[in-house]
Amino acid sequence: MKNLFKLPMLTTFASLAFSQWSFASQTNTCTDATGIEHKTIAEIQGSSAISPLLSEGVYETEQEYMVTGIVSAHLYNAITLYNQDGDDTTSDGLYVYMGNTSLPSVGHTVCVRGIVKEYFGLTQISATNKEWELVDNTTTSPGAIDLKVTDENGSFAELLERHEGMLVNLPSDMNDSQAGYQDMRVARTYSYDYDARRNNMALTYSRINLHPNQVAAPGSAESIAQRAQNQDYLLFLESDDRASNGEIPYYPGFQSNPNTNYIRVNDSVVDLKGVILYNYDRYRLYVPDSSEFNVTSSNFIRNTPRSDTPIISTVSDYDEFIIKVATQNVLNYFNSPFGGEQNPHGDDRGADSSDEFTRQTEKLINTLYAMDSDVVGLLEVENNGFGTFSAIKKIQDELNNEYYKEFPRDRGDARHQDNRYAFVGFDANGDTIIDEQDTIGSDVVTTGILYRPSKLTLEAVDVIPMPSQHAPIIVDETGAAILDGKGEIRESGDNYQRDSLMATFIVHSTGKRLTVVANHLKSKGSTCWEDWQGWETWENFDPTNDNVQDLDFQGNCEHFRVAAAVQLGEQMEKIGGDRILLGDMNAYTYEDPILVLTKNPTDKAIYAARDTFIKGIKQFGSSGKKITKTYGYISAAALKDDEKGKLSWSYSYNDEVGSLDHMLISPSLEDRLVDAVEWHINAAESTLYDYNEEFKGSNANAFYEVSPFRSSDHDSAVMSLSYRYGETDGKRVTFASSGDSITVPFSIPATATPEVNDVAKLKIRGLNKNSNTVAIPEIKLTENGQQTVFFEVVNLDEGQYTLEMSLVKGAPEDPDAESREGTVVSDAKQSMEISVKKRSGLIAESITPPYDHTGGGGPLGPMLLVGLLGLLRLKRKS
Amino acid sequence: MTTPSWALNLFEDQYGHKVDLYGEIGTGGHFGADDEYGEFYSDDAFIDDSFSSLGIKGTYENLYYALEMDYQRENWQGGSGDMVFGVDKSYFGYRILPGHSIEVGLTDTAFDKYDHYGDFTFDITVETGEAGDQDRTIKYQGEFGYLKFATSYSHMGRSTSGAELGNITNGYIGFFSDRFSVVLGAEGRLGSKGESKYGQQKLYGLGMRVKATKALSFGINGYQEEEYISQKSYVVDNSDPLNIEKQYNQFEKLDRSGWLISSKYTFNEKWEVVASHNFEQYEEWDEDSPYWSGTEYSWGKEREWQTLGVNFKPYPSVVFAAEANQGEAAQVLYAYTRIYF
Repeated sequence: MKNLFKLPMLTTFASLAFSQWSFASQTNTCTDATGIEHKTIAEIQGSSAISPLLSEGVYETEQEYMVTGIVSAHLYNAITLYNQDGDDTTSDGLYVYMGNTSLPSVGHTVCVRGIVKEYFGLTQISATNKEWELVDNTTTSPGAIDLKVTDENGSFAELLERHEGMLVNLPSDMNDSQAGYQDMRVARTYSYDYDARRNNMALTYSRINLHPNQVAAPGSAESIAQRAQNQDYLLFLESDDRASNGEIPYYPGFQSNPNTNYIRVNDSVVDLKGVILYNYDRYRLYVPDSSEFNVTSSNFIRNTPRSDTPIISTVSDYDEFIIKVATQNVLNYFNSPFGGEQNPHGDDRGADSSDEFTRQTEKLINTLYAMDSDVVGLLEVENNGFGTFSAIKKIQDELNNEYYKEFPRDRGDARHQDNRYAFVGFDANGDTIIDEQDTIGSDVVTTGILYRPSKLTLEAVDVIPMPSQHAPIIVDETGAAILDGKGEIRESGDNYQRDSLMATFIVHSTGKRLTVVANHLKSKGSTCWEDWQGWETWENFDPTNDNVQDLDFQGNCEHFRVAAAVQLGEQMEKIGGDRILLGDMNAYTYEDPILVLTKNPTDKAIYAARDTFIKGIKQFGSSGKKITKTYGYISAAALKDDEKGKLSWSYSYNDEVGSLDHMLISPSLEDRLVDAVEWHINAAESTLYDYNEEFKGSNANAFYEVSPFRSSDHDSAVMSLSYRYGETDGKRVTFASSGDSITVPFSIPATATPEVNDVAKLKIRGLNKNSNTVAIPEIKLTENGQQTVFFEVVNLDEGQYTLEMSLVKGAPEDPDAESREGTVVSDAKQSMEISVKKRSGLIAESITPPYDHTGGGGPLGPMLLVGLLGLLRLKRKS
Repeated sequence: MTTPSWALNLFEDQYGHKVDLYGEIGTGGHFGADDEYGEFYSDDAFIDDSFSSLGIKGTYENLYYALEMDYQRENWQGGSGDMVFGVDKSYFGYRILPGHSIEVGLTDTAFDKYDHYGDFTFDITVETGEAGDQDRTIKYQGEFGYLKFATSYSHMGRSTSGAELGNITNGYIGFFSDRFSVVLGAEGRLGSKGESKYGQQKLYGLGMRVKATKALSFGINGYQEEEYISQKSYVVDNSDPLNIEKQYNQFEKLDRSGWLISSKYTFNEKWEVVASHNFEQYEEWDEDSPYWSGTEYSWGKEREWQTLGVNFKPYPSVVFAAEANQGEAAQVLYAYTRIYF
């Protein structure tokens, strides 16, 4: 890989253009030249990255050379020459910097002379006096050469080097020796590239670039190889001229109709033509600024197309129902500047204007509605409490407006109010009131949980405190704190992460509990104490400005996140039962915190950070701790990916994607898991589609639509769990009454041979003296075979009852068949111990959890029994 | 537990039925008390430890009974600091066999009788946290020759501060001879089911006395305790700020242990000298424990201290005691006067 120069590309081009302010022209620049050697393009390019005409350590020749070729393309103040020599190891193209726009026609054979340069890694000739000589005006352009992999053993970068300076086409299959289609995929969609300081895209060969730690444990050979291959496979897609915000010069349809002509990560880019050059340490494909190179939507093949709703299986057996659980990052949803409750922890994030906030809300609500999940973990909600004007209340209210159908006849309709949400409030200050004074932790954002009271009853709420770090400050050799260019301390040793919100639900129509925790662990951005260890020995490290080393690609603070993972694992182990850990763990699938929470099959050495404290209590001490215990959670998405033969990802950073957002389920839920997906509405999309109004050019409004796409920067994830009606692990089956009615399921198995006209009956034992007002219908079956019917029981008070369901044979459909009318089918008989509660309201209330049985309690002590037995023995002897 | 010596006989008949009046009066306290140790209700240099009791006890055939009332200063941590009157004992007993009896009511739990066995100090140095007096208690006590044993069950026990403890069972078995005696005790508590911070508990105790000479005795006492203490509470009802109702969850096992070696030298009937070396270790003192209290104590996770005291008994039922403390102790001096009747 070339890595010779680091001057900004545009500056360089511009300076050259203006420093040579005369027009290029056709002359006899070659004919008149004396004593100047003529070289072929191949001789100038050579078979390595650097021209063989250059001595070692020298980046331009002292003498001029002449070169002749067919003009294959025009670029900004430059042309490319083409001359096929039949040698696959050398490029047939050469970039010629002309310094002006008066360029020879494409297809003409011209000769130029000039010095040969390795210009920021690009082999080129700078035309002397900006002159060129027409050699033959009857030749024609060679056109774009298909970029084909010809050397299976060579690197992709070597392939690109062999095409440096050539006009190439990206074919739909770049490798004829492999089955299927190998094409260029969008690794990072169209956005501003802070390295190159221009808008562009990153492409990658044959597959998207999964983050190294998305495929293997950090530091492993596989992980390192993945990163190397990711880098090797990269090809940046550039416009010839610097593109304005919101515009792709070679794709006019993008700007004019961006929500139709969108470009997503993993799209294949085919039949797009451009010149391969090397700049800013990368191979880049420059699309010439000419309409003949323009592309349309047909040049982008969508391998993960947009979907307005998550594509998730909710198929369950006849006697089961589905509960969907999801996680959603809300991209710093801050309502405090727009009439919301003040945030006691700060308010420096989120929308910049009321219009932006409206857009943010619209996109978020559209997303949450489309997710149609029964429990949703939210991340990056403004931490301004649970009062009337809090951010989470705003989300709840706006979302519930989507469910406007109120009549019982509309039950089952997606818009029915039964689908409305409540949020989980936490009584942080212990005043038994959920209000604006209850915030979680001390960060400006927090996690939240929405749930549907029609499906679940909230039984317990808690906040799991996460560790903070209070390690020594990082100092230089004089003992002074290391500061950055702004004078701020680079690593104070004090680091924090957000507390997690936990809710335990009773799943209606069952006796089961489900505990959900919304998490948002420490980010990879800022450093922790561990990230600085050994900095004194790092070669050429500038402690003021440089990023710290990241040899295993986990980003910063992985040890601190491990400490959080241990805390989460330990605390949830105490809760027990069915558990789901949701949220942004800021760790890819095989990174240390996830290995701790799931399993560590390779026994990777994992260390928790030093000097971490949980609510002031020391966690591991000043040496940290090697973590060998894992907690056995299962990544729901990864589990289903294995079955589907795919790899999920939820976040795009630079040119790599991976899953930072997880749905980790306890093993007890594995058999219950129907499906789990990551809904690629955000990571795959350009930031041009988000709620922000800045940096989107002249047609900014065209990018905005009320849709889920780029409603956040992280993808949503959704899973479906199946529950059998009436199943329980010993507790009473819970029904939540709405309007004094409950819906009682009666699953009739095939062994009972249910048939049309059979009558399902329900008897309720334990009714009080007012029970004569309870309406208990009978249900006549309308179809044969196993099925679940539902009794709509009205006027049943809160309380505990025993339900007895039975099936009575009706008259047979076939009058000639033997009639068993009136017979009770023994295989269908069922009984159920139930508890009827009022359905929770939509206003959060302080929830007192039931006793968790961790402190014992029970009947007589065993020692008493021993004592009494001893006494009886004594009496008998006496 | 008081040791009536000059009980006043209120009634006695020819069948041996009788009623006695007994009690004690004591005054004195803790000098140079150190609030860091968290043993007392306030941060005063002197903590009054006045205590008086008055009781009646009687026998009728194989039945016996007692009613004892205390008037004492609530000087412990969390206590009011006031002199408080209360019923300390109220029970019936029945002698089922010679040496074997059952008691029912408000009485000492079985292990309470010997939890400090081997500790000759006047102030009781290492505190074994057994249940003490409990209401709703049934207790069996018996003895065979050198062996004594007892067990008790207390329904829905409470701490001295009134917090629920759950059902409590404890007991002991001991060997007692003139020169040597040893008692093994144990207590099991089932916990409050989340109604207080106290969860289940296991406690084992050992007491031993050796009489080296007629004047010199040595004692050993120690305990090992595992107690589940709630780490998380939720306010259920705060309408009464003086009585906030809470739900307690997330109980965690905390280990505590302590031991002492003590010796007593009796010069004569009136003068005794007592010395002790004491050790205690509480998990909540340990900064490395996840259940550290969050307070850094000057003694770290364990403490050791010594005492040297003198007891002057001008009369058999009167004692003047002074006990100096050295080391990681909660006080400098304990001085007390007590008279029994």
